[in-house]
Amino acid sequence: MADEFRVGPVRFYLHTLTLLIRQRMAFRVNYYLMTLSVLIKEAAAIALIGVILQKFHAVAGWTIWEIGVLYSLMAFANRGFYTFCAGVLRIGHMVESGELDQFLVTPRNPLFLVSARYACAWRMLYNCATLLILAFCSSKAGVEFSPGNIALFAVFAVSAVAIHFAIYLVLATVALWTFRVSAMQELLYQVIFEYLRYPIQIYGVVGAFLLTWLIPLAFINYYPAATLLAKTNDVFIGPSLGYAAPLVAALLLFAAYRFWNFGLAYYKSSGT
Amino acid sequence: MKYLAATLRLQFRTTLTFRFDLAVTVLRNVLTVCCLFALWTALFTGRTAVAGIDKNTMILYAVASTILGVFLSMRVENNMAESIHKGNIALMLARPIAYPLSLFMDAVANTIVNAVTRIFPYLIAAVIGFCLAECAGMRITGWLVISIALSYILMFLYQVLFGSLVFWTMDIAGLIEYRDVVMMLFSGAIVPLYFFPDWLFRMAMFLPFQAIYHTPLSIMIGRIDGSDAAMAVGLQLAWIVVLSLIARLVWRRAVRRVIVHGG
Repeated sequence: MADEFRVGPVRFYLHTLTLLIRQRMAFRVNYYLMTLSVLIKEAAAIALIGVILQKFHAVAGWTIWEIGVLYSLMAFANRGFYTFCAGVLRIGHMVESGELDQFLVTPRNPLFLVSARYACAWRMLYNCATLLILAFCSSKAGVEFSPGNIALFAVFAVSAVAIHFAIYLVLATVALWTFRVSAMQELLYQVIFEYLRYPIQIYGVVGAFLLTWLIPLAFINYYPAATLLAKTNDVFIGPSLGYAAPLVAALLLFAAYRFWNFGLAYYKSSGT
Repeated sequence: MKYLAATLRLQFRTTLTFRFDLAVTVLRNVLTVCCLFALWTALFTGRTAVAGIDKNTMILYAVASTILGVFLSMRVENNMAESIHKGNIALMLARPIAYPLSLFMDAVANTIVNAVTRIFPYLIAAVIGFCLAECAGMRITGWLVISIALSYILMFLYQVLFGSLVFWTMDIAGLIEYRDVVMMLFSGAIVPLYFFPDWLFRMAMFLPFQAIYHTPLSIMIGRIDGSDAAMAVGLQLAWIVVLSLIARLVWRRAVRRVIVHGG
């Protein structure tokens, strides 16, 4: 145990991820089936939007492949979040069961430990599946695969995962006051996975405003996609807002982390 | 006195968390309905009807499909997978009630709970939505009721068939994903089959999945009625017969496998 603490956080994290992958590989066939199903599922979701669009041509001026980019950017970030830091999702349960206390008495940062312990590293292949879809849609939508665009995409992806993490961390902190947040988490998941797949202007000025300024989920995929696709005329506020995504992510992360620490200072165990 | 106060406080808290959950669920459903409104309104701008379906009918279809989805959500495969993992299956098979029947009862109980906690909030949301949009044209006929009941049985059979695979694969999570994809594509749950290209529409009509969503929803929006509705319901019945025969066959083989495991 003492040795464990001598390794740096990065090695510790990678080591945990390896263990988690090995654990999952016990059900090898199911694992490959799952990976393939992710590929098929993403493709099917986009195909269905394609079916709609062959009758309706465009959603708010976005073509099928543009929607495909929008969708897969979101899916990639969402799956990335689940792969690398889904631990925050469990904090609510851990408060209820008292499991969280174990993580609070170690010398490592509890948030880091929880994230590493419950990372779903085996999902990395799912991310690859989604990335394939994204690459396909991007090429169809005419996005150039230049180093600049790839770097831009990497920045957007990291920001999107960070936005996910920050918002779920806020919910997890609320859970420290022994509120049940599972319903809220489901709501958030629904908003991200079901609603963000379409351009936000279809939700009207109010919806777009809320998703930009109140809960800035539009920075997960909408503004980045608009920037990558160089959409100009039909983007709420403007496509260059995509460049603000890393800034938004950093601000959110900072605020959420402060809130989390504040919550921990007041945390009283449920005692179970 | 102190005890009473404590009990009351506890009760109050439980109700409160329940209410909070319920409030969030209602909010979620309102959002779902709003989203469907927004999406189809955006799609229909500048169009009156596509494939013979106008905007209001489409919104009605989409919302009804969502509610039907909640009604049809049963966790039969998960139930089966769980009893196999835990080894309960041996007990289940030894019970005086046939296992598939007990699964069906579980599913019905689950649906009733769902009806209270999930469908009811949807209905509130939907009613509010339709009042706003003055959406008309919903037809509740005898055929609709029968057809929804048959959809339920079909969905159950489909899940039992899929769930039986767990006897061979031992884990179900990956397989359920496939089931969802097939369902999503060919049942008409998300996009009406009427919007499909011709060849895909014809293909979907040959599969059992259209009998689960497409049939009751088409009856509801008045797209098929009279003798056509009777035909569609007949087709549902035929699928029930076919699927139960297959399920029976698969089930027998599966049970034999359990005996092998336990022996």
